[in-house]
Amino acid sequence: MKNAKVLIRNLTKTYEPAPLWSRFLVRTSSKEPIHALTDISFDVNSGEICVIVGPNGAGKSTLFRILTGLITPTSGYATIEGFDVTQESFHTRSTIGFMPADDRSLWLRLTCAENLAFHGRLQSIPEKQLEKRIREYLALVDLEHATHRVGFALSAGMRARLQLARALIHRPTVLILDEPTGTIDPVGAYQLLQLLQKIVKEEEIAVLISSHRLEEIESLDDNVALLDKGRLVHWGDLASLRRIWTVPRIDASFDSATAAEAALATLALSTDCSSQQSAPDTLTVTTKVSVGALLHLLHDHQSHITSIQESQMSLRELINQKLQAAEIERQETHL
Amino acid sequence: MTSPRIPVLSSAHRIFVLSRAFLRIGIIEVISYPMGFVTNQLASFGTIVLFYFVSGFVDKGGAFSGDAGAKVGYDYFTFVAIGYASVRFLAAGLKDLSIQFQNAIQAGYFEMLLVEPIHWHFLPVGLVQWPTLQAASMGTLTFALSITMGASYAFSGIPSAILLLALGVLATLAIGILASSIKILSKRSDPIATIYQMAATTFGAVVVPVEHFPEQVRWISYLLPHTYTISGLRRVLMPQGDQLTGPTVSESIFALTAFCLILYPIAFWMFGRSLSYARKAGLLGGY
Repeated sequence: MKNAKVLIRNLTKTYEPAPLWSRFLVRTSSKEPIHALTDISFDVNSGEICVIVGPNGAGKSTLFRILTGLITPTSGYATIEGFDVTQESFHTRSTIGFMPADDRSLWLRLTCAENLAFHGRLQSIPEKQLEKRIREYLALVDLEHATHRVGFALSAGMRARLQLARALIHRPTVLILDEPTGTIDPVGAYQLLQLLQKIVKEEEIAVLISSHRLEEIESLDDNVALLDKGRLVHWGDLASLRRIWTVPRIDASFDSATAAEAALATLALSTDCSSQQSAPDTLTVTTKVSVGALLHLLHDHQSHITSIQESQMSLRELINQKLQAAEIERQETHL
Repeated sequence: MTSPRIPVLSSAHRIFVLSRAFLRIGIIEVISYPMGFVTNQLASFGTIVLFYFVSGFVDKGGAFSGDAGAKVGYDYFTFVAIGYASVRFLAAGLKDLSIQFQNAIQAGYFEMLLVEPIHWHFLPVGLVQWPTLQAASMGTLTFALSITMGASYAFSGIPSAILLLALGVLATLAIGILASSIKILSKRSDPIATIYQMAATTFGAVVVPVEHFPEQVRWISYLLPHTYTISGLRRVLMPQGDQLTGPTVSESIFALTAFCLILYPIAFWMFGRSLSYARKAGLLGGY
C-alpha cells in the first residue's frame, strides 16, 4: 500500500467576520461567517496528481493556503509527510514545493538564476551544489537560454516555468501548484503539464494542482477533487465520475427536417430516452439504450438516417451536472 | 516515511546563509535602480547643507554664547549634524523596515517568503539587513560631508559612538518589528512607526537639546531611543561634549540596553501573535 504523502481529514475553515477593532486597520465587507471549507477529506499518494477543480469561491485557494501554512483550519487537520501543516508548518514548508497563482511572487528584478539561488539558499541547498542545481532545473524547464535574464523580461509562460523550477529545485516530495497555467497560452500550458507529468513519473512525488481548464483536467486524467462552496462533491478518478453521471448521447442526422420531426414523434412515445431537435435535420437523444436498440426504435425511419454517432458527455456538462446535483442535495438537507 | 531536511535556524551557519541571501537580494534591488540610490544619497546631503546655513544664521544673533551656547556645545552645526546623521542611521530599523515590508507585500513576494522554510521571526531581521548597511553608509557620508563644511569631532569618541549607534539601531529595530506586527494586519497603514517617527523628529533632540522643550512634554523625549543615541553621540563626538546637558554616555548606554531588553521580547511576541491572528483570519494572503 502506498503511503499518503498528503492526508486531509475533516478539514473545515470558517472565516469569522472581522472584529470591530480590526476594521479600523483595514476595510472588510464580511459581516457573516464564510464557510470556505466544510469537512474535506482525501489523500494524495506519491506519484499521483490530484486536480482540484471547482468554480470561483469553491475553496481551492483556502485549501492550498492551509497546506502551505498560511491559514489555520477551524477544525480537522492535514498532514504532509506525516507533519501537521498547522502545528509543524516549519517542517512541512521544507517538504513542499509551492507555485502560487501570482507570478509576482518571483523577484522580478532578479535574473532567473538569482531567483533560484535565493530560494535555494532559503531551502538550505549547500552552496557547492547550488550552481549545478540551478543549471539542471533551468534546463529541465527549458530556460537555460534565459539564465541571466531578469524576471520582468520573461514572457508569462517563461515565468510560469521559472516558478515551476523554483518549486522543484530543492527536490520536494509534494508539489502544490495553484493554477499553474492560469496566465499562459494553451500551447505553453500543454507543454508545462507534459513536463509536470514527466517529473511526477520520474520523481514519484505527490502533486496537488488547481485548474479551471477542463482540457487540462481531462489530460491529467488522475484523481479529481471536485469542490463546490467549500464542500467536496466528488473525489476519485474521472472515469468513476463518468460512470455515475454520464448518460450516453446519440446524435442522429436525417435527410430532411420532416424526417427528423417524424422520428422525434416516434421517440416521444418511448420511455427509454429523451430526445430533442438540435438542428432542423438532427436529433440529439440522451439514452441508456445502445445505438442498436435506438435503431430498432427508429425502424420505420431508418431509410432517412444519413448518419448516427454516440458521443460522451463533455466534462463541462459532467461537472456542471454533478455540481447541480450537489446543490439540490444541499438545499434538501437544509429543508 | 521520508524525513524532510529540517533547516536548523539556531546554527550559526544557517543564520549566516540566510543573512547573506537577504543581503544579496538587497544589493541587487539597489543596483537595479542606480539613479534612485544616487538621488537618495544626494537628498540627505541637501539637508546637511540646509543645516549649515541655518546654524550660520542662528549664530549671527550670538545664540552660541552663554547658557544657550553651552546647551549645544558652542557649535550648533556640529550639534545638529550629529542629530541628523544619527537619524539616518536609526531610520533603518524603523522607516526602512516598514518600506521593505510594504514593498514585499505590494510587489507580491511576501507570501512566497512566508512559504519558505525560515522562521517567520527572521523575516524582519533578514529584510532590514541591507537597509541598515545602506543607512550606515549614508550616515557616515553625512558625517564626512559635515566635516568638510566645518563640523569638528573628537575622533577619540568613535569607538563609543559605534557602540551607541549599534544599540540605537537595535532598539529602533525592535520598535520596527513591533510596527511590522501591526502592518501585517493593517497592510498599508503603519501607526506605530508613523507615531514614533513623528515623536522622534520632534522630541528626539535632533535639532534642539531636550532641555529646550517645556518640562511638561520632556518625558516624551526620555521615552525615545533616539534621544539617548543622539545625546550620547554628542557627548562622545563633540569636542566640548562633556559640558552638554541631557543623558550622559553611561546613562545612554544603560537606557538603550534596557530598551533592547524590554522591547525585543514584546516585539517578537507581538509579531508572533499578529502572524497567528493573520493565519486564523486568512489575512496572510491577499493584500
